[in-house]
Amino acid sequence: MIMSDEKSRILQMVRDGKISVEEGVELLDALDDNVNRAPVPGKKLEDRFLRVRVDSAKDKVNVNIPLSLLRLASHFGSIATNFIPDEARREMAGKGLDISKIDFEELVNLIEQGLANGKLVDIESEDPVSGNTRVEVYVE
Amino acid sequence: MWSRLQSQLLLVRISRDGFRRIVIPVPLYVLDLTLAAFLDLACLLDLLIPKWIRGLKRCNLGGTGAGRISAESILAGCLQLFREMRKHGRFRLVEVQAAGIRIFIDFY
Repeated sequence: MIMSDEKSRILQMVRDGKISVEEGVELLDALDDNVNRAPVPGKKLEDRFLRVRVDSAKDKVNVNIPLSLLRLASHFGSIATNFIPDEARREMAGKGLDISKIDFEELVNLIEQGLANGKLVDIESEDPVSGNTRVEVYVE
Repeated sequence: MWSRLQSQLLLVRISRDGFRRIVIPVPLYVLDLTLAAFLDLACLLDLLIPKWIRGLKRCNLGGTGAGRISAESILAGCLQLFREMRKHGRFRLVEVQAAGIRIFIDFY
C-alpha cells in the first residue's frame, strides 16, 4: 500500500513536470530494488548468521557468527580500534585509510537490510600449488 | 512465552590424524560467573590504582591506545558479547581443518 503510494507520487511528479521521464524511471527502479532487497519476512535478526567459508583442497574453515552478536560488537568497534598500534595506524593512514572514520553500526545495518540472503564475498581462485580455493561470506 | 534455551556448554574439540582426540568442555555458567566476578574486581582496580593506570597511559601499551580504556569497560563488553552468544542455543561457532588438525568449537 505504502509502495503504491510512493509510485503514484513519482508518476504525479512526472505528470507535473517536476522530474523528467528518465528520472521517474530511475526512481521507480530504485523503489523496486528496495523491495527486492528487503529482509526475508519471518526470519528474525537473532536467527541469522554471518557465515564465513573457506574451502580448499587441503584446508577448510567455517565460522558462524550470529548477526545479533555482530550488531552488539559494532558498538565496541571504536573501542577495538584503540588497540591498533600507532605504527599500523600511520601505515593505514598513508594508504588513505582512516580507521576512526569507519562506521561499524552502519556496516551492520547494510548487512541486515541489503543482503538478507545475499553473498557479501564469493571468491574462487585456482593455484597450481595449493589447488582450487573458494572463499564465501554470506548472511543466512 | 518461552524464551529460547541458552547454551550451557562450550565444547572445544581438537583432533589430529593418529592422535587421540582432545575434548575440552567449558561450563558456560562458570565462565559467566567468573567474568561477572572479575567485573567487580575491575571496578575496584579502576578506582584504587589510578596511578598504575596513568602509568599505562604513559607507556601507552606498545603504541596502542589501550591504556586509555578502563578494565571495567573491556570486561563489561566481553561479558555482554558472551551473554549474547549464549542466547543462540546450539550452534557451531568455528570449524577448522588444516594440516591434518581439526578444531571444532560448539555451543551446546
